[in-house]
Amino acid sequence: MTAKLTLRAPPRRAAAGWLIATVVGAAAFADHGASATTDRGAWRIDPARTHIGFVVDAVGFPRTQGEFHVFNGRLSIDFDRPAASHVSFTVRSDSIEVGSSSFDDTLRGSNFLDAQRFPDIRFESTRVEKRDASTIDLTGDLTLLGVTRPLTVEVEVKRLGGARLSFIAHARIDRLAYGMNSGFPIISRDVDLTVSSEALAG
Amino acid sequence: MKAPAARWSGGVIALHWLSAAGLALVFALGLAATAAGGDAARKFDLYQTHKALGWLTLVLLAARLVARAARAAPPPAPSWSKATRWGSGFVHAALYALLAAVPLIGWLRVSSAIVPIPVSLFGVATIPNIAPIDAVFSEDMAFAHKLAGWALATLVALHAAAALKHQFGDRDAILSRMWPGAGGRTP
Repeated sequence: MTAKLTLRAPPRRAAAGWLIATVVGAAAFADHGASATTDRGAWRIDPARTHIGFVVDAVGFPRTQGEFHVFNGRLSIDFDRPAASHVSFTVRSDSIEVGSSSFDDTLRGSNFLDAQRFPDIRFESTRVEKRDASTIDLTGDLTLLGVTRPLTVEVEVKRLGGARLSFIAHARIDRLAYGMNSGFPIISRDVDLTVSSEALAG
Repeated sequence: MKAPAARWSGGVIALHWLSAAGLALVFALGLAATAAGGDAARKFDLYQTHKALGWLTLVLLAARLVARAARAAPPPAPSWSKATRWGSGFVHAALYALLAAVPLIGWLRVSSAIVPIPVSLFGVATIPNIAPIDAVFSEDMAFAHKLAGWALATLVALHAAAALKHQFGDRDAILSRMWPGAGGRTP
């Protein structure tokens, strides 16, 4: 049986996580056969439990942690063939928040996200691979500052009981590869990205 | 012949005490920003507030120099020795020099930083940078800013101690000339 479905995240707060959740769901359930899968587009993200966070280190300055609050995504899943699944999502670069409005403005500015010129950060999957029962590798193209580079996202999934899935996606982004050079080497080149979310069946 | 003013003008007095309060706050913010760890956003905000208020002390200094030039300064107390006059003159000249130098060096440090984040006057205005990016120069300026800042703090303490000593030890009423309202206005 092939259940191909397309889910569209609600505008604004839903998300990257959602897509990944559903893909993860597909990977996690593949072992249990078609009977365990939900045939229809039954996974939905819990926006209140979805966070797109990042961490950047610097010399002589505390670790900066923040979140992106506005994101949107789209996915299609093939439950029988997880590799045929597809994920794409968009994050609004000006939705960054680190806990200080003037710091936010600095990060939105031309030294970093250049949000006026590049309002969106996009991810488009090119390959979905199941690593083990609880992990998938999601490979795709990340477009940041108008530069598109491959990126692999590691996604861990946990069943919370009932029809609830928790998942955490990790990726390390080399900002220099996208031309975001400001502050290097005082500000680290690596940006650690974590998407955590919970998805519900039904 | 017109007698020299016995007191500083109201404008000079107001700007002197406003500067004193502002400097105390800017100095405390500078120390707090430097010491802050853990919370990046809080550290960032402490620096931004320090930079904005520090820049405004330059405006206060400029206004004070104008107010000071507008009317003759009160003369030194008649009881002062030559050495006291010389010492007072030197400390005051150094205070004015550092009041200008400390914020100017800070402005250069901010402007030339590896990521120059301009001084923002609380979202009302953004002060332009005044130097090109140069990480080494910027670190030198950071060191000079710190050094000059501590020198200014030391001179301010000396200045305050001397004013108190003259007022209450020598009873030459030197502090009264700068004290708001005391003795009323003189022509």
